[in-house]
Amino acid sequence: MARPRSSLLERALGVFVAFALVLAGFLWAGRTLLPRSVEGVYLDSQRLGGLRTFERAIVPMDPARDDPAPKADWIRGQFAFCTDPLKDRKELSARTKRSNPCASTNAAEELACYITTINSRLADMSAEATANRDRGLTARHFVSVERWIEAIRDPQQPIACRTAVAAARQLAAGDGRLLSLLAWRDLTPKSVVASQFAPDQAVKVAGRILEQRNPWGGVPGCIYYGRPNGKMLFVTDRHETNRQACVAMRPAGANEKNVEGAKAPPESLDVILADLDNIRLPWRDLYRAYTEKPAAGSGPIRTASADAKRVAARTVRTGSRAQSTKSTPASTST
Amino acid sequence: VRGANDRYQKAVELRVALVPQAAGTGRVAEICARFSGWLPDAEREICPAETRTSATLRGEIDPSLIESFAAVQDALERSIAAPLKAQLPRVQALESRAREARAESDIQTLVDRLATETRAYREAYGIGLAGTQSVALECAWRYVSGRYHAQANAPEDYRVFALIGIAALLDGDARRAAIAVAPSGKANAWTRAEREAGCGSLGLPREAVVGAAEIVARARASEINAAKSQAAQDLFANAYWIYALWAATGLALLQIGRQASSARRFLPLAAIVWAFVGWLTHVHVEWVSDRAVHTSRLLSWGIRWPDFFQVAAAAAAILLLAGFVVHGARKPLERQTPSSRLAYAGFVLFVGLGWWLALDLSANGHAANRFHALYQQIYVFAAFVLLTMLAPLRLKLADRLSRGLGHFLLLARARGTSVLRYAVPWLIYGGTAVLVLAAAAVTHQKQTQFTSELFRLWLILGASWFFFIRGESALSLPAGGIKGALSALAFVSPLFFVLGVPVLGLMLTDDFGPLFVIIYAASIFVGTAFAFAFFDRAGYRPWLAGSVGVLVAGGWVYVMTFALYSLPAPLARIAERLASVRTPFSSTNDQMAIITWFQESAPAQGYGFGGVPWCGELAGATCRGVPKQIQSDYVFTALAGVYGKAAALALVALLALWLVRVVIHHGRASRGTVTAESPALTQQAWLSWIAVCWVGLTLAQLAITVAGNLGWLPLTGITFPFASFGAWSLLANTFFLALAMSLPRRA
Repeated sequence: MARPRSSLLERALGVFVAFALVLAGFLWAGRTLLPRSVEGVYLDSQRLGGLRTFERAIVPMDPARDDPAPKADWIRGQFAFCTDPLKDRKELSARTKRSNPCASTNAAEELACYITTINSRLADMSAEATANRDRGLTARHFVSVERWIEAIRDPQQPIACRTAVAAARQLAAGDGRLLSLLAWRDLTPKSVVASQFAPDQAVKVAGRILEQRNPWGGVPGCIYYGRPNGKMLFVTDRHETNRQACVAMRPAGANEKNVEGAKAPPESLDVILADLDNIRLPWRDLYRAYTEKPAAGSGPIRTASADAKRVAARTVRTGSRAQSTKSTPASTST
Repeated sequence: VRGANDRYQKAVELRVALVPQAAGTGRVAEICARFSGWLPDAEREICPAETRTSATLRGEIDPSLIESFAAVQDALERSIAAPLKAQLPRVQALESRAREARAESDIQTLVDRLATETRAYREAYGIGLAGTQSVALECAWRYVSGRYHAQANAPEDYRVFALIGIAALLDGDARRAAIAVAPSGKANAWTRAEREAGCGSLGLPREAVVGAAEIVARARASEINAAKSQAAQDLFANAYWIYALWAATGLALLQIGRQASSARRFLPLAAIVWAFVGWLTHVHVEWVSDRAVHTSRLLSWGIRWPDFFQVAAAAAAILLLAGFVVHGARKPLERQTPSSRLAYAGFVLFVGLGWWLALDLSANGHAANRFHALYQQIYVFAAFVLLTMLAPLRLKLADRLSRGLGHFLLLARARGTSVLRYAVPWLIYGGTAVLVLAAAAVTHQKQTQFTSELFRLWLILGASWFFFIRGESALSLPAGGIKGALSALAFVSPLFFVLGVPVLGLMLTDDFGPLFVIIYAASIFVGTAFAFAFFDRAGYRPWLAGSVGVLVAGGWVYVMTFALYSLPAPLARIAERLASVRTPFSSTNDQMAIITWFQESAPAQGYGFGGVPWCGELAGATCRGVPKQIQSDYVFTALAGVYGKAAALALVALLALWLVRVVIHHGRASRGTVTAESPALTQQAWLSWIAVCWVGLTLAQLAITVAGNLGWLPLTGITFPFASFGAWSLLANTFFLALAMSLPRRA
């Protein structure tokens, strides 16, 4: 007897299931055909491009000629060329108002506020030169909107107006806090200026200020100095983000209460221990060579345990001994 | 979960019980409502939008107003000082003992420990090491009230502005306080008396006022934060048995509900049981989300644990009694049987898995998400209630729905003569689409997630109705030739209407994620419809229709993906998402880079619950690890972190198999067509189509969310079925599961 024809419902379900398998296969094929490497650093190239327009825009100011507080209407006119024009907003959320003091429903007004904030911070930075010759700018600088627009419209590397405005917002945030992190011609050694700066360039935006490292890429090691039975200081990365690990990994015999981060380590220490950075910092090659699993068929550098992802190399004055520990940073005591 | 207590204990220790005079906010709104007319237009911006419209609000400034504000400030001071004052006698007693018995170094240790315990409290509320008063609040009050009194003879607008500054300080509104206080110049300086009182150490007066307003805001929020933190600590201690109790209760009620009992008796009984379980397991219904406005609204309606459950149990008991007293002529519900033995077990497994992730993320992830497990507790509880109470009613619901849709089809059929014959159906279908879009626009204002679930509901009901009503009639379509092709196209056209409405709606609401799901899932429905319309009939080989269906669906997916990557993106946000797939480490959106790092760093066997470094390997004040929305959009990544990537993929496969398993026996119970044999069978046919379409759509959603997490497709912000954090996705899926997981026993 012939099998009764399956119902429409069963046939539909069959098609759905078959298709789900096809979809999974399609996605798998896409993944296989488009392999992608995993990089250790994230850097928003668009954002960096936007910030770099200010390398051309920030110039020494001529108080007689230049206006550090441009008007909104004038700015709107200057940005008329944009393919993505400055868009006014209908209303501002409370959150936006809270987080952005320049926030306005009028986009040109908002941009004018950013530029004024940046200029105000630049004025403060030049004023600092009076108090501290090594930290302040010798001349007063400002944002030349005309030069900024030239940089935005540069045919070699055009930047969307939206991106440029976002860069202005970023520079103005926190009363222009980011400006002090940029590399200023006035504060850079002459040899570096000669090789890195264009003749009329006052500031350089290094990619490093926007770089974001893999938060699971490893922990920088700690360098200890002092006596284990007395005060013990450690040096690690600038923000001491691994402070807890440095205290926990203190040399044997050191009291936890006596271990603390060195606020001003001896200048010579950097030079003496510079070579250790290769094994101490997660983003250096030697650290990665020890901690990452080698690709099939590659070199034989391995940790003691195949599964160990981190290595701790503790060096003491009398000699050195290596020890492999999972999830501990490279630490060195001298 | 490891680390859970540390995170919540601090909030408990910072609790300030505000005395009644200090409670409440809205003082700025009150001042604006009475006096904003005195302010020039530009300055009126400081007022809340609803109080700045009229320039006629020019009441006389009553001197008693500042006195009432002074009373509030005093009450605030007293409230903040109270916990320290409560400890004062103990500290004094210990100190005097330390003075009398110098040798007792233990006593000094105790004094030091007490000081350490209160340090966080003192720092949070600006209280010095000596004394119990908040110096910051005291100085800020001196400054703002001094400014007001100094302007006693000034024009009204000055005094109103100063009053707004005071009101903002007392409300804890730092932004308005900052605006209302003089930004610079001589006015922004302390008087000698204020400097002598130690106010100078707080910075400029403006900074001190802003800081004090933040302190007031912290104090105002502290009570609810402390209560939530306490509840979260209790939840972490009891989550295992709470979930076990819910699962057991759900199973028992499902079994009872499947018997041929009366809905009139079963539903009140189930409500009583769930009310008791909700009361017992401390389901805090008032904390339905992290928006304070939701909580205050619910509290104003009296919806809070335990009152809500006590009232619900009492109401249900009355209904149950009424059910026993009133003997209607209605037939009992149809007896039902599970569509699969694994249906309920799978629900318990995947919902529980999602909640466990929320617990771990709350304890160790972003601090802003620390109460998500608490909110999810309410959603999970609601899902159990919905599942058990809906399952016995499913046939009745299908009956009502199909009757409604049947009436709609009758209404929209072509009738009359000439123009009307063609116009009426178009007007009715168009009007329906407009109504649905308008409803979506309304819900989109408040609940974006609900809007996408609304369109999902439309799509599933619409596609299943199409197959239910039109499926079998495809067999009678003319085969071959132009006439056959045209008939087949006309046959498929209603499906395009069903698909078009959500696509249009999601484009208008700029909801890219669900749009992506619907476009991909549409391939299944379109492929199946084409297979039925063109090849599912006598004269063709049985396997041909299925193959054509899969080919059409595959072609659709290919074309859509090709268009996505090749055509210029219509929106900047879509372009950004696409860029993050192509170049994850240099695009504007960093989320793809972060989740790739996280997945790569996770050990093959996973970190295990409680051991996942959600915030990265470096401890810091801010969480620089996984994206904040990991508990909703990146559940696959979270699973890969906890169990390892292979196990996460196995869980995805298990979920897919479970979904298919839930509906695979529907084919035995129903042919999916209208039948004169029994009303229950027709209702079940309609339900079976709903179940099959839901599974198809959910499989597509699952594939896309996993593909997005693995970097194969743009990250779309769509949920992982049953496991993602959030109410609407979980409840919508539970609704469809409740319809799908049972079958009439006779069938």
